[in-house]
Amino acid sequence: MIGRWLATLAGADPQQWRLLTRVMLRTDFRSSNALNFGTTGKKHAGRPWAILLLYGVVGIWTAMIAALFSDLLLVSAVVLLAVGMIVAMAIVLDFHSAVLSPRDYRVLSPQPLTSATYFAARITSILIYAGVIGGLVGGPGAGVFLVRHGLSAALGLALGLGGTVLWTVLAFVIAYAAMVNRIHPGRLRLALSSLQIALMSVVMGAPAFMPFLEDHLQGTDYQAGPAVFLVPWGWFAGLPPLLGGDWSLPALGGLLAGLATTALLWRHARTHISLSGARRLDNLSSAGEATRPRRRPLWLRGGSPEQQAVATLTRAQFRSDMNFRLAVLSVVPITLIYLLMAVRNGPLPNPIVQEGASPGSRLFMIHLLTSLVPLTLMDSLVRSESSSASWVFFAAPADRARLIVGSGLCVSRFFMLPYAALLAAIFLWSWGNPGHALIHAAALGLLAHLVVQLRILLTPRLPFSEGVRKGMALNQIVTMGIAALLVSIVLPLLFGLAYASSWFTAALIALLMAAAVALPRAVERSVRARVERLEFGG
Amino acid sequence: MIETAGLTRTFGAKVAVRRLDLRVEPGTITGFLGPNGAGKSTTVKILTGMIRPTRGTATVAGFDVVKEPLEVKRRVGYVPEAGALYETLTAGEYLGMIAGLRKIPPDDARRRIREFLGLFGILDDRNRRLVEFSKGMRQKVLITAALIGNPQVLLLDEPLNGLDANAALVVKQLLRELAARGRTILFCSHILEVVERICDRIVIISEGRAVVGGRPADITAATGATSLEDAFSRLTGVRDAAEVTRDLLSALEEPSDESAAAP
Repeated sequence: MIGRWLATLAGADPQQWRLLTRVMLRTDFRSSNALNFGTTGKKHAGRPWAILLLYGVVGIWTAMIAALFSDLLLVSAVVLLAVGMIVAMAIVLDFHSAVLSPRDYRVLSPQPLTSATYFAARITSILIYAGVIGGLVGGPGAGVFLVRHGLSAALGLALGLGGTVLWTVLAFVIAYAAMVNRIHPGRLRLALSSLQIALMSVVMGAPAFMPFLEDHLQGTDYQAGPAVFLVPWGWFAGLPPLLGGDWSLPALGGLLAGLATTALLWRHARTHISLSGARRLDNLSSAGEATRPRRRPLWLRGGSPEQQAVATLTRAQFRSDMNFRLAVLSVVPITLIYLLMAVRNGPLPNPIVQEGASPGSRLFMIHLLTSLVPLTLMDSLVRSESSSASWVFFAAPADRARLIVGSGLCVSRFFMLPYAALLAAIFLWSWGNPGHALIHAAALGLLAHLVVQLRILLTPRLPFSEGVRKGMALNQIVTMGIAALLVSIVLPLLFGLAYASSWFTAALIALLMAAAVALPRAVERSVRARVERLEFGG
Repeated sequence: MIETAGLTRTFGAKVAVRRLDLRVEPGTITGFLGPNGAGKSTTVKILTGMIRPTRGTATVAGFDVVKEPLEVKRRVGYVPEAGALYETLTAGEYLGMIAGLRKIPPDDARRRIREFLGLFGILDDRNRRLVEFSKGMRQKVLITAALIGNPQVLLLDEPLNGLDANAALVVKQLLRELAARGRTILFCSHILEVVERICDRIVIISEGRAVVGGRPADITAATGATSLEDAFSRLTGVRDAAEVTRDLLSALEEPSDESAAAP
């Protein structure tokens, strides 16, 4: 009833609004990879286990914060910041197509539907989705508030959650839609990629700032200051203390700023979300970018015909597939953030002369990247918006095992080799010993190459043969993060042993080099039978 | 009735439709032909209100496509060339959505969906998701979606694409019956035999402008051609098919320098 009234108020047709909202929720949830945890293949019904688990874990973390710290304002700000960040991340990384979908234009534009109705249905479906996320992430914190601080504080946090979700959704939807509507189509692809890279960097780079947080939040009696209200996601954090009777001018100001900007954003959102925006995206996705023919550069030549084919395809995909380009480019700022965090307190410790580094040392960040970067790249090399074009690998008389191993070599050659060179430069700056720098950089580079091959051995998949699905980015980040963490815990133990004597060091490098040469062939033989059983999924 | 006057649509520097004057009378099926990229789909998209013309006017069922797009859409059934569907919905859910957007009473919608899917032989598949459907099955869903609102005007862009022979026969017969009941039908296709058989009139466009319009037999006679295919080839300025075939075959058979050098 209220929804019907609100839809009418927004100028929408209530009947069409209800119907479309239901359809949009269905299509967005069913096409979410995050909702299909435990099932294989795209034909299975969605089950929201993975996403519930992921957000539930963050929810437990917020509950712990609420239980540990006594300051209402601090806890509210942390919880609302987490909610805002996760909602923003979900919209930008995985559900940006829910904001304006090219498919909407193709399916809905011939139907008798007004822009107001389309807007109302789109915003409702996104708000429901974001509300579920907000509830899972912030709900447990509100529960702790109820027990620890009483009903008014819990109610304040619940209202703050609602306000934060609404504000974040509107702000990011407007930002995204404004880009689609205002930026020249020729530059739109680049602009959208840049926005996504920026957010992806924030998300993946956030753990690198944990040491700063540890330095500042010492003791559970830490109290937040008015600076909290300088950040939009802190505006609603004043609600729990306000409802608890603890009035302050900054809290009131923050709340007013939150309410005023929400009203302003709502007004603007109406003009920004329309089927014409979806049409621009449709044109973008169907037309692609006009590119002038170019000669194949020298660095793409060499290697087996399969390797050359994969290298050429990878280059072409980088130029035209927005998701792939985003995934590759996002590795750069994340790598730089982690490297900067590693060297923030001066030169790195030298594991060769210091008899290895403990997992807690500053080399941890670099060790984490050694597996995180190749795993991220390998995963992006498999996914594509144009995965249906991979039929050619199944129809052509190509050696599929070689193609797959070739994709791994492509990652090692074009990404891990420059990364190892960068590491060598950082180590040289830190230690002043070219030999040591070269040895450790070579060891890490070769290990990254082996990680790539092991990844192929575990799950051999043809390049660009799997579609991009919503919720995928979040799942990937979590899975690869855990795998990289495990590797970075084991590495210092390995180096501690290998750098104990120069003979051991030489043996390690020789072993890694032999493995680097032998493993691709072994992997090719090993996966051949499995690869032959792969079927075209388009 | 469909009527356009001086209809023009440009995409940047490219002129897709150029001063097109078109008239499709109620109770007729008009074939809309042209080579790839001639502007057929762009014209149809303008007529559905999906895109706006750069210049000129277009009215469908008496309503201007720019000034009253909702009225036009209420009266038009459209089968797109590359049919987009919400693939995660079942066929029943998708058609239910289209019926809902067209404000068809739920009971009527259910009955029509059952009847159409039954006639197309996919009633048992109505609870399967569209992602699992074959190309032909999807086309049957798209045709059902276009017809479900019993529209006055039908804009069909390659409607027989992927249909099996039986379904194609049903659709062709259905179109004739609908035309006999006063519907206005614009039929885009590359299959000239079909167009020749079911269309009352034909309009051929090339490079965005109409080059000829009239009854199929009249067009063939006026161009001095032996068939509609021949007339189409002459009017759209493509090379002689036999000549092109000869060149293609020689390209296949002539050894290249590399293969000639190989042992």
